[in-house]
Order: sequence, then structure tokens, then C-alpha cells
Amino acid sequence: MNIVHYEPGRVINTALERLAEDLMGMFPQAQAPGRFVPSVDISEIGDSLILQLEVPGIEKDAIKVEVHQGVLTVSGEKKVERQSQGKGVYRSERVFGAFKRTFTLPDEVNPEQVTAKQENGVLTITLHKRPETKPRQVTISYKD
Amino acid sequence: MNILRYEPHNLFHSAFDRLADDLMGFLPTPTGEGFLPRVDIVDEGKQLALEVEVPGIEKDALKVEVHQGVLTISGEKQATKLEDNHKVHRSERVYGAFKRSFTLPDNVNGEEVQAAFKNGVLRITLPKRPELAPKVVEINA
Repeated sequence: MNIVHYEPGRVINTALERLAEDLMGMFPQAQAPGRFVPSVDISEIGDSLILQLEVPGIEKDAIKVEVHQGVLTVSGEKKVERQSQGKGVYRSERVFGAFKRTFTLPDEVNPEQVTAKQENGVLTITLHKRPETKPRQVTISYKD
Repeated sequence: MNILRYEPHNLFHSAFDRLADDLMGFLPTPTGEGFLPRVDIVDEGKQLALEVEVPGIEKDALKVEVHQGVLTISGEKQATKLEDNHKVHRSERVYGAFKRSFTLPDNVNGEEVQAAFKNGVLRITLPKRPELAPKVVEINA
């Protein structure tokens, strides 16, 4: 998706609003019910673009971050770690499974300068924008 | 809440089911802004385990309490403070203070509760009490 201004987390209050959002397919999580889609916060400060994805319960080395042709892809798998015996599962709210989210990066982002950090179940990806370049004037060769 | 069977993320649980759950209060939903961590409760044979998803929270911001047969998990998930020149493009993560309580079944020992925090998941285990055989009472003539 393109990185445009979008704050579904702020406006969703009532169950009806949430249902409307689900139906409009604006929630990535609603487009794949029963599958794990990490929530992301994207912000920008100075010349850094920062993405924070929630990846609770995922071990290190289970996530892949790739930048290719202006697209950032985060993929991996959230695995169930416990073994249930006896009566099994009493309550199941957590969602597991393989996931992949892609983000189209603005042109100014430098693909060589990407760092990623995973801490406390949050993956923070920092990208840097190239310094703004002035338009380059091209001299027209003229022949009469 | 009591520990009853509940699987809202079953593939067949549609948006309408979810709405019904919300209205009936089975899925605790925040009123207005607020964060409620997802919890899984699993019977692991010798112990009962709860897994609470709290990514991005510091360990010191979490509290686990057992009192009179009720387990309460509380804390606060704080958003990173934004400075003036910090622009937000997308905000899907939910933040805020939270509290969830669970009535423990009789067969677990609340005194020996253990909690560990790893990768943003708080794992709470409670050992089960050994099954007591029914006590046969002698009737005095």
C-alpha cells in the first residue's frame, strides 16, 4: 500500500463503526479474518521514516525485512509455542500464522540505509530519506 | 470473567459474529480509546497457562495479581511521545491503560503463580492442585 495519512485506531470507538470499517475493507486485519496481520504505526521525523510493527511472541530470526525496487516487505511466521494437553484451549484470542505486509516507499527513501530492531515484541524499521535535491537544469543544445 | 471456551479468531467467525460478541460483552472491548491485550488460556496438563499479548510495554509497566481466586493483569501501554516535527502517517497500534481479570478455577493453585515476559508476551502459569480423591465419610451408627 502507499504510505498515506490514515488513522483507523483513533476513530474506531463503537462496535458499529468497527463493523463499517470491516465491511469497507479498510482494516488489513479484517481482510484476513483468522490470520495474523501485525499492526503498524508509520511516522516521519526529520529525514527518517519509522515503521513500528507489533510482532508479539515471534522469535528473532522468524521475521524477514526486505527492500526491493522501492517496496518494503515484512514477512514471517508467528508460531504457537505452547503445548496444550488435558482439556486443551479454554480461550483463544491470539491470532497466529504466516504474515506479509508490503509498503510502497516514497521515492526519496534510500534503500541502502535501512535498519531494523526487534524488542519486546515490536519491530522498528528506520529508513532514511535522501537529502532533497534541487531540480537539475538541463542545457538544451541548439543547432540552427 | 470466567474461563469459558471462546475462539473469536476461528475462520468462521464473521464480522457479524464479532459485532454480536461486542454487543453481548463476550469480547471485552474498550469504550472510547483504550487498549485490551489478547489473552489465550491453555490447559497444559499439570498447569494452567495464560498468554497475554502486550507488545511494546516495558516489563515494569505490567502488574500481575492474584487475590481471592481472581487473577488480574494490569498495566499501561504508552505511545512514543511525538515531538513537534514528528508527522504520523499511519496509526494502527492501540495504546492506553488496561486491566483484565480472570476467575480461577478451583483446581489451580493461585499461590504458586509464575509470570515471565518475553518478546512482548506475558506468560502466566498456575500449577494445578493434585486431584483429591472424594473423601468417604463414615456414618456413625
